[in-house]
Amino acid sequence: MKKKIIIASLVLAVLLLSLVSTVVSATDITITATPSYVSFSSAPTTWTLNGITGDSKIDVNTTYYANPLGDTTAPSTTVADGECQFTWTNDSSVNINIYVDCGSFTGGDADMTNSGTGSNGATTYGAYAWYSGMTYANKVVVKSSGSSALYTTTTPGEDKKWGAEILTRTDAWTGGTSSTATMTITATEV
Amino acid sequence: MKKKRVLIPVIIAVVAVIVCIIIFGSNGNENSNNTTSIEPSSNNNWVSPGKIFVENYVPGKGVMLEVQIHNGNPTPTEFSVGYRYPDQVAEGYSKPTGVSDWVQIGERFPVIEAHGTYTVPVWLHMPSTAKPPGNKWEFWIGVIDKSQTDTVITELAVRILVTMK
Repeated sequence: MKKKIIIASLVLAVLLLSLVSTVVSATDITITATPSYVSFSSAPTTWTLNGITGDSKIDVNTTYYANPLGDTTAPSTTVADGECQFTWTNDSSVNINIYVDCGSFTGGDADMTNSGTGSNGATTYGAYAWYSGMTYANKVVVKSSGSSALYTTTTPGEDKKWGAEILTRTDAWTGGTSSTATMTITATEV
Repeated sequence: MKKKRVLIPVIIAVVAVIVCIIIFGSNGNENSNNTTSIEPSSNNNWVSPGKIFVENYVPGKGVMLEVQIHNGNPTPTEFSVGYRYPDQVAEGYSKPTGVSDWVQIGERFPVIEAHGTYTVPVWLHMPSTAKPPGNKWEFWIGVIDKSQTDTVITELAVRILVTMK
């Protein structure tokens, strides 16, 4: 009888092994998605350095703020609504994160690339972004790509005021033709 | 006593089957796509879904994902759809170094009718000899409304979170 039990156990073990391999091979690629949509807007859609209250002419090695109170006026220790030029609105069905990237200034005599550090240099500019209610000292470095989130977990329907600043390059301009850059505000689901 | 001897192997087998199901799971449909979407305001641009999880991914296999894009403009509008290196990734996920070639977009610049919604297929196909950036990694699909000509523009991104088998 013992022999029969041993044989039965061996047969079951073989069956078990084949079952395990079947289950493992059946665990194939799965794709799942949350039933959500991401939608948001930001306004206004233009920013001219020194063009909010100034004459749109810029100097080297100078910081310009997207601040309705003044192009060269830094926000308060705690950023206020009135110090922010832009407003974003989360029209998504879910919480979103907001990222701000800014590319190179090209096409003119004030060309400069983003240093990615917040500091400027001979041919590079530094940039930061901030939002209403935040401690200004915690402003986020704006890079050409890979910036940290400016704001996390913006809730559906939420409006938020925000602004940015650019510290122009240290070297003199080569002429008087303006250069342009594109600032991209990206939203992702949290 | 005889009954007991017969039952012992059967009980062992049943317990083993239960353990296997718990360990390996029972829902192993390849490419099962549970994507659903909710329609928001037709006057806003939107993308859906916000996140797609690809699990048990194996090098050499291809999967097709779908990204829905809605044109909230009152006129036909061109959108750009492309692989996007993520600004940040989820905790525990790696940044996707060198994976852009593994992502193919079905239509890079679709022109979507006014207030229309369009589905763009996205294929992920990692070569069988390639090394993944990590066991878990993330990349984005960036969608930009090309009618934005000003200096401050918006981008909507779909997060793709990949877990290797």
